[in-house]
Amino acid sequence: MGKRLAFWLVVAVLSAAGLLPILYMLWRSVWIDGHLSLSYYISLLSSDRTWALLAHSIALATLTTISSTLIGIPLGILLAKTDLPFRKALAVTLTLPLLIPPYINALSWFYILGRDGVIAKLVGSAVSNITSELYFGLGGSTFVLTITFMPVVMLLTMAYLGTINPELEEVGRLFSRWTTVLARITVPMILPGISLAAMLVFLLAMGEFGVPSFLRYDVFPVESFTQFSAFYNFGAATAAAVPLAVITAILISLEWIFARERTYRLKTASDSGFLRIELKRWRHPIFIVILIFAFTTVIFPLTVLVTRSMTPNAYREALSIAHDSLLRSIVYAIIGATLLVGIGFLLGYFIHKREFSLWRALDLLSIFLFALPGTVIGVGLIGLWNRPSTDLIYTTPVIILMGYLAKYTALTSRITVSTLVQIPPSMEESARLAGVSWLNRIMQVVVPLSKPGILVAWIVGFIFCLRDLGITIMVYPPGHDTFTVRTFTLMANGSPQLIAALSVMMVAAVIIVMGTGWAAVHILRRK
Amino acid sequence: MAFIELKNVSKRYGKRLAVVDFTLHIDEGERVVLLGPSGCGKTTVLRLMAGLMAPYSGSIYLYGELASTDGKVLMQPESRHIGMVFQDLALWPHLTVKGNLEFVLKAKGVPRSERERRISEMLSLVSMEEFAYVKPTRLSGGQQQRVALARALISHPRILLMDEPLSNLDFELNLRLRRQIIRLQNRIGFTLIYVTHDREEAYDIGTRIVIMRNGRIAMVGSADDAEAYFSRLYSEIDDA
Repeated sequence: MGKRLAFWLVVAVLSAAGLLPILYMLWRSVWIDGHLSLSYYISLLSSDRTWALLAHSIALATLTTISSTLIGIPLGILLAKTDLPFRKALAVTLTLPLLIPPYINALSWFYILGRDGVIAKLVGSAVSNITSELYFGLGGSTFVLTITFMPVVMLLTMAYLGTINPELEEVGRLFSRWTTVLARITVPMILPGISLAAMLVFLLAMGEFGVPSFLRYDVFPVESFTQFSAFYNFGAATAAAVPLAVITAILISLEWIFARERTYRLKTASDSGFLRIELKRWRHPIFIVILIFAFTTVIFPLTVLVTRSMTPNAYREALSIAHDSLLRSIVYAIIGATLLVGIGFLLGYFIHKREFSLWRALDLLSIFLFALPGTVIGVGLIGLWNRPSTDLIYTTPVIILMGYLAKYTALTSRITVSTLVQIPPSMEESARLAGVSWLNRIMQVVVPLSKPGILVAWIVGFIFCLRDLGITIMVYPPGHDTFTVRTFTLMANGSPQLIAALSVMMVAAVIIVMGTGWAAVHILRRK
Repeated sequence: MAFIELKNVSKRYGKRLAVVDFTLHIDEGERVVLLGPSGCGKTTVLRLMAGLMAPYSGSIYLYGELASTDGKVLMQPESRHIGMVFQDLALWPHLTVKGNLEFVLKAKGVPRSERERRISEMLSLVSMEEFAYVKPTRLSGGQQQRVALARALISHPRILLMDEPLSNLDFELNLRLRRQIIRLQNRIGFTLIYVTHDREEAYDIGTRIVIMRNGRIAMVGSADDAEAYFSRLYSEIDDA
């Protein structure tokens, strides 16, 4: 396979899985009964409900972004730049809520704050009635999504801090205290990373379907799903999806205009050491505060979830009800992650090399698709591929895999770019001068040198495919539902013990994959 | 017909001109050294010759054929019969010394028995036979340099490009390897284009010196001419 062919393969995959479905969706929302019409939009814009949904969506996204940023930046700085003990363990623990389906986080907190939750048992129903009242709606949705998406800010802050040339801080340290250096040198330098993180959290929160749906807070993704699933009104579902697509496009464009050099910034990363802040007498008090925070927001809710599931029959029942969907989830996640690594690696390579003029458009498209709510991608995929001639796609798991490729390629391509910037270009160039073909250069020089990065990309791809709800719940063909979809649909009428057991199984799957993957990456790096 | 000919070659990176109106003829078997300070465009000229980038304007001829011109690479790098030693040496760390050499020969379609013969001959030429099964990361700087040289030469290139290959080595090792490069060039007969910012290294290796400043050729001549150029330059600076 030649380089050009590989490039067009990436273009074809992203077009078929993401671009064309979105364009088709837009087209269908204005082409009604054989002629152009804005009737869906007119009824959408003239409806009070639309504006209420928009206000809800923006309020949820804004509050989640503010709280995630306020918590995520200090945590990122403390975990990346200081001599705090157990930094890695704390970072991994705090990242866990991002890796499990957000509605499971909502469920765990429901078992704490709900009318029959832990609070009710500890202090009585008078208090739990209030906590339950507060939990359902904007407050609870913001709370759960903050815990879920705060790691995005924390991790990006940590990643960008790692790219700062330590000499720039050392110069500042010659005449200022650390707090001044952080405020005047370090944080301003990582502002592009922080703004990217804030934008991602905003878009992820605005596109989130499971949590607002569970906590009965009406937002656009829920509306889009309802219009499609309950009323099978494709036009209305599409029109409800369009505001999200437009807001996503605007934010991505703004981010691109104001922070387009972020790839270069990562490229100029210095690996000549890392300047660490000594917390001295604050080391242990700060550690205890973060430990309490991690325990309260991550360990405690999961413990409650596990406790809820601890009945003699819960796991047996969970397995008998959902073993087929669990197996499917794992198989789809393995195939999805493998495809994501393949396409994401190629896309990352082309973004890194910048040889083809379309690289920037592909980069933007993949980020746009990642930020777009899964339900919107789902509506587009169904619209484009639901026809007799494409049954092979629509009635098989291929449609789910296409959704994964559309939504998550940006993750694996970004990981590839950050891996490739660490490989000197001369490694490939020397092979090229020796007459080695492009495919051989990739397979025998670039891929072996990128192994740890590829493995990380596969693990991330696997986890995100495994936890996906938004796309899968929209597109899964009959008999092909995944574990997250099965659990989510059972939540309406299943026993709490059963739902808790199913959720614990999902969390366990994520932890096992993360643990195994971490060990494998560790071994590869040591080699 | 010049063996290598660069005619009015310019190269820009965005708005910045890295090489400006560069014209140079190089004959077969010459040892030409591009000498100049960091950022003067020496490496860019090497990469343009190798076909790893296209000139913004101007033309490059190799063996009488047009190889690159006005934003286009016409002769692909792999077809130019060029070997290159990069500044960072670019040894593939996941392959052994032998693996690094063998990979090049496999790409050229050299049969197995011939590969073995050429690898052992080349390793003996650079005195690295005993390290055939060692990975590059386990070698010292000088040993890595010799492996990079062997890898660049194993495909019998007609031109060898060397981009400051000895800059990270101590003086004694630098001197010894310079001697080895000259011996190999005399024995094999390739045309050498060598980039350095070190005058002594340049005078030792080059049969012709090209001094570069700000992307342009400031002088072409012998080591004596180069020394005279620097004397003039220093007096101008002193006078100013």
